[in-house]
Amino acid sequence: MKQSLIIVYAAIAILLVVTFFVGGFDLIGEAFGLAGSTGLNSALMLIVSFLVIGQLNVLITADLLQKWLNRFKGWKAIVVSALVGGLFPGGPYIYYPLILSFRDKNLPVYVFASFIFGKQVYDFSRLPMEISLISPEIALLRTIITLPIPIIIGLLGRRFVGTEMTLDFISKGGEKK
Amino acid sequence: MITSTVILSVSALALFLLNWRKNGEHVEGLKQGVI
Repeated sequence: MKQSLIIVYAAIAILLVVTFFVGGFDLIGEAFGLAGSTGLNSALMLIVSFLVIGQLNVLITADLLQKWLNRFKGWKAIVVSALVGGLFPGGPYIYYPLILSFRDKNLPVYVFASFIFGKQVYDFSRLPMEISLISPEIALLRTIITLPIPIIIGLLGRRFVGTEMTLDFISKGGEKK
Repeated sequence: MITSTVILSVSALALFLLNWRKNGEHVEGLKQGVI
């Protein structure tokens, strides 16, 4: 978060300098005015988006997701884990420990791959933001275009890594070295 | 923009009520959303 803020502030500083050289303080004032009006226009939607995300975070618990992941096998597991990944709330500090908690369940690696890709590519909690800040059409288009990616990754993992390669197997192999 | 706000507001309200009825953690949801 801190690093992201630094990058954003650095970009603002650079853009301010460029704007100053292009149009002076007048152009900077105009830019701030535009930014303010955009912020005011989208403020209500932003607040509502955060409310939706908060309620989703509470509704979909890690236990519930674990139940869904354990219930399916094979290609169904790929689709389900990708969708569950997309629904999973929180950042890497939440979902990587969850993945680690599956180590003893003998779940294949391709299931985890589709889960991680589902989280990164779908991330349905991002949808309210996309709908409010960009547009519902673009959000829908983005979702449809990226829909097959986590499933393709899971199928590729299943094809090339195999069904017997589990997270537990890999971690034990690492310990031997 | 108004349509999006309405859709999101209805979704937020539905999820709020669902959490209230299901696990009583609607307030926690609000906290997580706002903070």
